Amino acid sequence: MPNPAAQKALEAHQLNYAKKGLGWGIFSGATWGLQGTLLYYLALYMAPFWMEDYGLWLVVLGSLAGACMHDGFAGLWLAIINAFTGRWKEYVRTLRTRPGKLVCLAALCGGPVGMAGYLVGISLATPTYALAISATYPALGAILGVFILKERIVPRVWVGIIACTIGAFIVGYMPPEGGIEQYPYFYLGIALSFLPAFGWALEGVISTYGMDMVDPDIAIGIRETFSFLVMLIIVLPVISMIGGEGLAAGWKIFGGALAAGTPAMWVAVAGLSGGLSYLAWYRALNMTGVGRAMAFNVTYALWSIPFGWLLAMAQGTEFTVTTTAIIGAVIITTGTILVVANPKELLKLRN
Amino acid sequence: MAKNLLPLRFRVLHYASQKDTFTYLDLLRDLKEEYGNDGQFNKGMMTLHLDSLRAVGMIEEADVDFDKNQELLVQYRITDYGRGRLSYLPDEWK
Repeated sequence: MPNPAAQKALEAHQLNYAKKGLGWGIFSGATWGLQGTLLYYLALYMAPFWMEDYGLWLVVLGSLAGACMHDGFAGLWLAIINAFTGRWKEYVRTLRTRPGKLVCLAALCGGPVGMAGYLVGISLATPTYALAISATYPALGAILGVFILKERIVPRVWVGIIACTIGAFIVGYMPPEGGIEQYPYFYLGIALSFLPAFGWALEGVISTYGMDMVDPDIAIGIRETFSFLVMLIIVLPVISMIGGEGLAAGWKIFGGALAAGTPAMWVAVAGLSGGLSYLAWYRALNMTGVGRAMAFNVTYALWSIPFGWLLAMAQGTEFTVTTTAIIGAVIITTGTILVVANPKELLKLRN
Repeated sequence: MAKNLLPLRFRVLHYASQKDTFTYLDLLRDLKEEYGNDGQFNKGMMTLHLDSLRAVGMIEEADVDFDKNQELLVQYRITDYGRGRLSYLPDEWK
């Protein structure tokens, strides 16, 4: 005869596990906002990542070199965390398996493909259009999750996911400057902007599939390190060549930033925040499913407001929040509440 | 030649496929020789691996009761879905 008291305790234990997953999801959004603020508003404005006389392709290469270094540091921090928790041997064990190789495929979609498409798209097609297209990734990921992973998502959660997506778009929206005739590669840029939308959505779905068996902490450690290596060895020289800057232009920026010290140090700090954020995101993907974890991830748009304010305070500069940002933040908050409203739904993630 | 060790979570699923039901205590006893030197080889981490495999539907609870210390002791068994995923194990483990 089953023991009713033990049954009840088990239910509480499982509900607690689901709630922890939701907590990791929210933590991932917050730390991603911090990472974005540190990387894009501080480190990447430092020479040699960015310089006044840089042309279009050098600006792109500077951002890519920064993104590459970010993934490298994030991978390093995660390796240290995994060593401390007694799991360093799991890297090689996991890479020998098919789900482990799937994690590398996910890394390819999210890191080099997604990130390069995102940064090049912004440069070629204005942030307005590129960000609008790439911001659709949570909704896209949730749809792929339902079809590929058979995730169960009730209508209320759908509304929440879509609200978070719209809110992130509103916070990130920038009015267009001038006509598109100033951008000779506008349509190429639009096409490239679909890479991050699909890349990040596919990363979520493929890695979640792999993480049915792979420990999320190991999966994200592999993801960041693999992404770093592909960016360094393939993406940086290829984009340098495409932009006509010569093979080594991206590497020169990368090496210059390491030699300069301070910019690399800030990327290392951003990489710590980014690594923890990704760790939390991968745990949330595993514990709460793709649809919910994606919605939490875009709450970074909300968190970038308080972190931007703190950074401005620390630097003694003025920080202003636009009305649209506040409207976006309210929509994201509402969406998040809809997503987390009933943790009991998480007791069975799939159909 | 000795088999390459699986990642612990994969090994737990493989173990589940060989037993009718099992608890974390069985895992800590039977896998000690293979994973005993891993820092992760403890009750907390093993429980986490089991919770995760259960949440994604690879294993399910067969029975639950309290042990003599009044702590929850869950008997798990593999599901059809989990059995299907055994195909992802390297050939030497099939």
